[in-house]
Amino acid sequence: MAGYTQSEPPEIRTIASYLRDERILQIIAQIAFVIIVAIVTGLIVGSMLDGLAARNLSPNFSFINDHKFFEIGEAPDWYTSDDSYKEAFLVGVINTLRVVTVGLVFTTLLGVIVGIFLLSSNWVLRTVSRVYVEILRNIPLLVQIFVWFFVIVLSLPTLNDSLRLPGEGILFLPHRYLLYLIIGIPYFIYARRLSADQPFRQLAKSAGFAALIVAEGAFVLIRDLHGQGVDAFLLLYIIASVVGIFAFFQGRKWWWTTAVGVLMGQVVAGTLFYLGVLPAGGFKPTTSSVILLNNRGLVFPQIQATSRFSEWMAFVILGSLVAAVIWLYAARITEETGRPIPRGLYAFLAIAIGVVLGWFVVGFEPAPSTIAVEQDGAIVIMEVEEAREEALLTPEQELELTSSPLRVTLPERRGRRFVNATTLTPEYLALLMALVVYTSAFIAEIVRAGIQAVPRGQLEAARAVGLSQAQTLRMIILPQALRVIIPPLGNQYLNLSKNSSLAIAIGFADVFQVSNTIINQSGQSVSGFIIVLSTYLLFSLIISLIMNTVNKRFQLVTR
Amino acid sequence: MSAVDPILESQDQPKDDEPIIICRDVNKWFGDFHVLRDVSLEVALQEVLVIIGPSGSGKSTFIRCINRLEEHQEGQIIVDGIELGHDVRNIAAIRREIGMVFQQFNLFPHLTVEENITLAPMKVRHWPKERAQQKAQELLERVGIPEQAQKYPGQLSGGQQQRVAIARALAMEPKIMLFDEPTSALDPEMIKEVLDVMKELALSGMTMLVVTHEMGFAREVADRVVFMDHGRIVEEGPPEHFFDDNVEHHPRTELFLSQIL
Ligand SMILES: Nc1ncnc2c1ncn2[C@@H]1O[C@H](COP(=O)(O)OP(=O)(O)OP(=O)(O)O)[C@@H](O)[C@H]1O
Ligand SMILES: [Mg+2]
Repeated sequence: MAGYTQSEPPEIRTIASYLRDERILQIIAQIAFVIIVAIVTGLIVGSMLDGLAARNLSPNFSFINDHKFFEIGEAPDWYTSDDSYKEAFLVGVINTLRVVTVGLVFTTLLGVIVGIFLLSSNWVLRTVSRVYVEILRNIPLLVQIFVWFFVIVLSLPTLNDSLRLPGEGILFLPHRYLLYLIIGIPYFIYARRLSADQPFRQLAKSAGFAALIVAEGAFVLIRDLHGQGVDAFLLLYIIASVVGIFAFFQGRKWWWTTAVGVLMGQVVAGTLFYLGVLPAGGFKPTTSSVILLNNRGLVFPQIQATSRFSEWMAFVILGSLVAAVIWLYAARITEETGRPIPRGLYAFLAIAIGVVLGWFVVGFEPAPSTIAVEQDGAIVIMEVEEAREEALLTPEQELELTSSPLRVTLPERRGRRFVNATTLTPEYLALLMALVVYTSAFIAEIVRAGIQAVPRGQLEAARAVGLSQAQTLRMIILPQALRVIIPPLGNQYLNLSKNSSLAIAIGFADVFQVSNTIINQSGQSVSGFIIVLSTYLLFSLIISLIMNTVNKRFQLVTR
Repeated sequence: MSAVDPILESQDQPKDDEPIIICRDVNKWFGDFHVLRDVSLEVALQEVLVIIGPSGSGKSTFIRCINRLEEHQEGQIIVDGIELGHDVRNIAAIRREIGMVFQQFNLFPHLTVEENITLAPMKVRHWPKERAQQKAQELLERVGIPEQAQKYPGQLSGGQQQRVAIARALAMEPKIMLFDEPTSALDPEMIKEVLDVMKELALSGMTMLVVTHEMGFAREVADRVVFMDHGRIVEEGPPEHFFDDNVEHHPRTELFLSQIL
C-alpha cells in the first residue's frame, strides 16, 4: 500500500482559510439546512395545534381506553364487542399483519415462479406468463380486489355444495406416518448420494427402511400390549416388512419395491377394514374432508398445541442446536480437508430426529382412559369414549386427552359453521389473493430482469471452470441476480403492505378500517390519524430495515 | 462413437505421441446457418496452436465446441481420450481438464480475486481451502499480481483482470488452455502484459489453442497456425509458412494476411 499517501503541508490556517475549505463549507451548509427545516416544521405544526386547540380538537390519546359497542367481523376469540378501542385497534393490527405476512410469502413464491417462466424456452409457458403479467399489472388493484371478492369468492358454491378436498373424505392416518416421511425422504436422498463403490451403500439403503419398519412394528406392538386393541397397521407392518426384507436381498431398486409394498399394505389393510374383516384399532377412519371451500370462506384443519407440546419443543430445539453444530463443524471440515459434506442434509436429519424422537417419547404415555366431567351439575368420572359421545368434553379436556404434542382436527360441520377447524373469511381470502396476485406480476418482472442482468459470460465462465449446474446457479447466478432484484423487491414489499389498506373497500377489518370506525365513533380524527400514520410508517420501516440489511450483503465492490 | 467406456479409457494416459485433441469432420449449424464445416484437426500434447481468420469465420464457435460451451451436431471431438457426447460425466471430466480464457475476462464480480481462483479447485476438485489459497498465491505471483488477492475484479485494470482470469483457469491444473481473443478488449499497453504471461505458459509446456489477431505472438510462440474462413480450415502450417512472402497462399488467406499484417 506504499507510495501515494501525501502528508498535509504544515500550514498555519486562518479563519478565512477554514471558511474556504470545501469540507467545512459542506458541514455548515448541512447544519443550516437542518435548522431551517426545524423552524419551518415548528411553525406549521405550531399553528396547526393552535387551530385545533381553538376548536377544542387538540390531540389527546386518552380516548383509546373508552369502551363503546364495537363489533368486528373478523377477530380472535379473546376480543369482545365490549372491549376498549385499544383492543379493537390491536385486532386491526393483527388482521393487517395476517394479510401482509402471508401475502409477502406467497407473492414472492408466485412472483419468482412466474419470473422464471418469463424466461422459459417453452413458448407456451413464456407466453402464458407474459399475458399473466401484462393483464395483472395493467388493471387497478382496487378493481382486482372487487373482482376477487364479488366475482370469484362470493360466487363460490354454497355451504352445502362446498368444494372438498379430498372429495370423499380421507382415512385419517396416525400422524407418525408424516414423521416417517420427514426422516425417510432425507435418509433416502442420503443413501442415494453414497457412491456405488462404498461397500455399505446397499446396506445403508435397506437398513434405513428396515429401521423404519422395525420402529413402526415396535410402536404398534407396544401399543397393543398397553391394551389398545388389535391394530390394523400390524398387517401393514407385516406386509411392508416382508417386502422390505425381500427388497433387501434383491439389492436393486430396493426403494420402490418397498414403497410399492407399503402402498399395497395400505390398500389391503384399508379394504379389509372397510369390509369389516379388521376391527378399527389405531386405524381411525373419517369421512370428513381436509379442506373445504365455499362462499363463506376456506375451511381447513385446526392444529392445536396440547399440554405435551412444550416437552416436545425441547426435543425440537435440542435437534436444532445439534443441527447448527453439525452445520458449522461440517463447513470447517470441508474447508480443512476439501471433502464435500452434504451438511444441509445432515442438519435437516438432526432436526428431523429431534422432531420424531420427541414425538415418540412425549407421546408414548397413553392418554388417560377416564376423565372427570360435569354432568347434570355433578362431577362424575367417566370413560373418555362415553364422555365424548355425550359431548361432555370441553375443548381444554380434549387437548388434555391427546397423547401427541399436537392435536390436529378435521373440520366438522355444526349447523351453519364448522368446528374444530380454521376458517378464513371471504374478505380475507379476496384481499389476500388480490394482493398476492397483483404484486406477483411486478415481482415476476423484477426477477426476470434480475436474471437477465447477469451476463451470459458469467454462466460460460462458471461452466468452463467445471462448476455443476446447481453450483453455477447457487454460487454465480443467484448472488449476482439478487443484487439487482433485492432493492426493487423491497419496494414491492412496501407496496403490498401499504396496499393492504384497500381492505376497507370490501370491509375487511384491517388496521385502517378499524381505525376509521374508531375515528368516526370517537370524533378524534387528528389523534386517530396520527396513530394510523405511525402504524403504517412502522410497518414500512421494519420492511425497509430488513431489506436494506439483506441488500448490504449483495453489494458489489467496484472502483 | 467408440465402443469402449470413455471414462475407463481415459484412465490410462494417452501416449505422448497420441494427439490430446482429435476433431474429425466436425459440423455445426446455428439454425440454418452452417458455422463449422467438416473441421478436422489434431492437437499434440504441449503444442501451441494459433487460430486466425476473419470475423464470423467460426473460430470462437470451434474452440467453444472443445469444452462443450457449444454443442457440435456432427463428427467427433475426443479430448484426452474422452469423447464429447451427451454424457454429463464426460462433459464434466473434459471441462476439468480444459481451462478457458475469454475476451471479456468474465471474472465473477461478487468474489475477490482469490475467491475467483479458489472457487473451482475447492468445489470441483475438492481441495482443502488452504491448498487452494496457496495455489492461488502461486499463480498470482506467476501472472505478476501477487498483491491483488483481496481485491474485487471491479477494482482492477483490464490487463490485471485478464491475468486473474488466466490464473483462475490454471488453478484447476488443466492439461489444455483455450484462449478466445484474450487481448482484444485491452488497451495497447496492457496487451503486452497478458501476452507475456501467455508466452511464459507456452514455454512451460502447456497445450494451448489461441484465437488471436496478435501476429507477433503467433510468429514467436506458435507451433502451428490454422487459418479458418466460412467455417472451414482453409490452410494450416508452421508460422513461418504464413509469414513467408515467397509461399503461395490460398487467395482468402492472402487477402486476410494483407489486411492485418
Ligand atoms: N449463438 C449463436 N446463434 C446464431 N448464430 C451465431 C451464434 N454464435 C455465433 N453465431 C454466428 O456464427 C458465426 C461464427 O461466429 P464466431 O463467433 O465463431 O466467429 P469468430 O470467428 O469468432 O468471429 P470474431 O473474430 O468476430 O470473434 C457468426 O456469423 C455468428 O454470427
Ligand atoms: Mg470470436
